[in-house]
Amino acid sequence: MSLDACIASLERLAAARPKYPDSWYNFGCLLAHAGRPADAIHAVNRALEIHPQYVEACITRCFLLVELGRQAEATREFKRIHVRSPDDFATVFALGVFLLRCGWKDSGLDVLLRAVSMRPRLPYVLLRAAAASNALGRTDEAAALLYRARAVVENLGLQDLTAGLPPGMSGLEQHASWQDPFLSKVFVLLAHHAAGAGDEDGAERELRSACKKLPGCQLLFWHMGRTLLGRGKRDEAERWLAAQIQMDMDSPQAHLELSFLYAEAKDLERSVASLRKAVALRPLYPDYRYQLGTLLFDLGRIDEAIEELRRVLSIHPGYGHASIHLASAYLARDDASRALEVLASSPCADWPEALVLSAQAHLKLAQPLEARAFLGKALAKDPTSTEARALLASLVSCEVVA
Amino acid sequence: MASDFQINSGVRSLLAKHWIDLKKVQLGAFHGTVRLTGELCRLGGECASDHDPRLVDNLDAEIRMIRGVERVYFELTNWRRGGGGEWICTDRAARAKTTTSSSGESMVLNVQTSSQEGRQDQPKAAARRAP
Repeated sequence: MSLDACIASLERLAAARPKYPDSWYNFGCLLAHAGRPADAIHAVNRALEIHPQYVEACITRCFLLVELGRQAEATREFKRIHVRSPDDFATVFALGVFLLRCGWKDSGLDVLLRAVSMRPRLPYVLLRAAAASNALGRTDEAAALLYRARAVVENLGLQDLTAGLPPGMSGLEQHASWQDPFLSKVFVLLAHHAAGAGDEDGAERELRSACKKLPGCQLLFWHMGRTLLGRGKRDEAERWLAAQIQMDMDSPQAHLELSFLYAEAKDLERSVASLRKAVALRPLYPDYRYQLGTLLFDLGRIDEAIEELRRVLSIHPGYGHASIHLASAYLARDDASRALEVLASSPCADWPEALVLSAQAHLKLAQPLEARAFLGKALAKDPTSTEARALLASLVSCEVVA
Repeated sequence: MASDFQINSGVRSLLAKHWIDLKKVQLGAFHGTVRLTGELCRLGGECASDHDPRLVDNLDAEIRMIRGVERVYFELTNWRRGGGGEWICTDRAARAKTTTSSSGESMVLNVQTSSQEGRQDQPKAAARRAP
């Protein structure tokens, strides 16, 4: 799909969802990529009106302000962003590129070298620093950075990536053109639109080409892995996700996708190990813990599952899926009272599967009337619920016998 | 029988194939019951097929094909069931509201005319791009 068609499509989306910052931000990224900074900043501003702390949008706005000749304002804004998160890698890298864009080559290189020290194995960062170094005539330093980038990529064994590297110092100029914090998002949007138009091969091609241009970019590699997984190319997906982890230890999403990949291959212990790594990297992110709790429950490691699921609910009390699994884990431990407590305080209390669980808990507590009431509610919600029907039938037959 | 986690994995894989934004939709499987809550939309941007009522029906059918899945519930904030049981994208209704004026004439969101901030700087930007 062409860039223009993609822009038109995102414009429609932003109009349809005017309260979603992502819609405006994505629209702004494409406009910026199309060389329309004035329109782009309008769209990015809309995203920031809705979500003032949207860091990506704040950074993109600074780049657009420079494009529009408002460098002093851009610098002031970027300073504020950097002060808020001085040790955030993405912000530091973007700041380095921003300073270069403003013409401050020495400062830009210094900041980029700091980004290199924060993520020493990310090829696109090494290459960007090499290009900046080369532009300053520091050829030895540039050659060393280029060598490091090549070494990292060649070790990954992904031919696509090796072929995308600059052959020598002369090719670094091409990499100096990666100056936009929104570039990776643009590639993803274009790939998505190709997929939406039914061109799955085109989407994959778009992502492959983007990964070559930005080797090590988390967003692109994750999409590449997910796309390959979705297309049933598990082995290749595993190679891309593992490569991402090898380059950047801070890749929780790659660990999560790997855990699903291993689960599909029925290697559940490896799946647990991958999930534990994702949880360790983002301990406050409930979804990773929920998946880990579910997997541990499936493996019969009930106590560990309870621990993880309880933590999920302490982070996000409204996580209905976690409540159901936690209640089920308590029931497996014959702790029906706790199961009922969890379900009663959860927004999932009215889900048919939660109502059936509540009925089971009441039966464990020898409270058939309450159980019957819950089963009635479950069947009112979903008359096709086979679990509710089966439990009710067994309850009725017990009553008849009694 | 497939475990809940394996069903979760299969459903996620399927949603990935359809480029569904997993940050906006929560999914969970429990004893063969799959439930999707939140907002069902595709990653990034809009495609012609995104508002097609068959999107949810197709997902429903494909999820049911996953081994171990017995029942699927959709509790979505941006889709609702119509009177005839068909799925209706409420974003689409919002879009119709946004892009149609009271006289019924079609309006197009035009960032070029509404961008005050951009307009004042446009000549400069054009000049910077000229070379």
